[in-house]
Amino acid sequence: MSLQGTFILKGLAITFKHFIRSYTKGFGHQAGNIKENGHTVVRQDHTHQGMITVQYPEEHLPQPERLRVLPVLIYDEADGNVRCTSCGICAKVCPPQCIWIVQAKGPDGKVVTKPQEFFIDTDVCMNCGFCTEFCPFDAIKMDHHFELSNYEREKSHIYNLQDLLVSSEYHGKIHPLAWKAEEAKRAEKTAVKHA
Amino acid sequence: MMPSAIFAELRLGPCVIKDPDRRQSVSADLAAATASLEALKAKAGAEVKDDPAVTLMAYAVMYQSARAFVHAAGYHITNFRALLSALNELYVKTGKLDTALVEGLEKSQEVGSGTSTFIVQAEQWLNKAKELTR
Repeated sequence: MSLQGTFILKGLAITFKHFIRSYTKGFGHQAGNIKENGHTVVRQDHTHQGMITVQYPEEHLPQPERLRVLPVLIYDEADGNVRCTSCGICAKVCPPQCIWIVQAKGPDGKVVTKPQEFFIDTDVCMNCGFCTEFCPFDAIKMDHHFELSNYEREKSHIYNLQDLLVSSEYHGKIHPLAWKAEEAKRAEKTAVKHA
Repeated sequence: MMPSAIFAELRLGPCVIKDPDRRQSVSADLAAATASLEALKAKAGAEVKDDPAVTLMAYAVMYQSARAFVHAAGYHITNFRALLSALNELYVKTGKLDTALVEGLEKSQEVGSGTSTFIVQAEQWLNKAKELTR
């Protein structure tokens, strides 16, 4: 026969544990976070715990770098060069088949390694990130912007090429570690090429 | 990025940043566009044929000039739809820029025919951008 009322003590213990974790694994646990002007803008620690209230929408919790919302296409900030070569790998590998691409063709009818059109049906997208994993050109990445609701989907939830294009600077801002690794690889490739 | 041509809506998103300090980078943008135009003219040669590589170079000049326009207005924009919308709202509607030039910037991405037109437009873009800083 168990002691009456021990469940109250168990509940209090859980509450106390959450309270302590707010300080040790919430406020205190900031390892690897990217800060700007003293505020965390990108979280690296996804095990953030504790009972911290964020006054959304006036306040926004900084997003973890690994967050996947919708795909975006990257263009180089310096010259606007669209990295996508319309190879179609992302469209092939997409599980719900939400991507469709039209390859650009030159005046002689030959394929040019650029997309003429690029559509993503964002309501079909399952946010898996396979497109970004399989892209050999770092041309498609997952965005963090999630405030996307609207009253209809035909016009506002089917994104075309211009809607999808974001600059490499934006990509570097929301994926700082991945950006650093990509740039290092790119620099290495360029060095080998010029050697 | 929500498909919207309305700049007022796009301004609320993460890709349009009000940054008055960007005005200082206009001269660097123009220098980049000028260098790109010189490279374009060297590649195109005297007799211009339809060539996707040359069209893309013309697109680079237009893009860098467009960036100068947007920086001059005190914005930093990291989405192409927002860039086009900002140009329409801030410059086309006020008569400082032609609609045809903004359409040329968009169409030149498609690298179809019309290389000679895009080269002319690229030069017009740069000239208009230089007028901003006078």
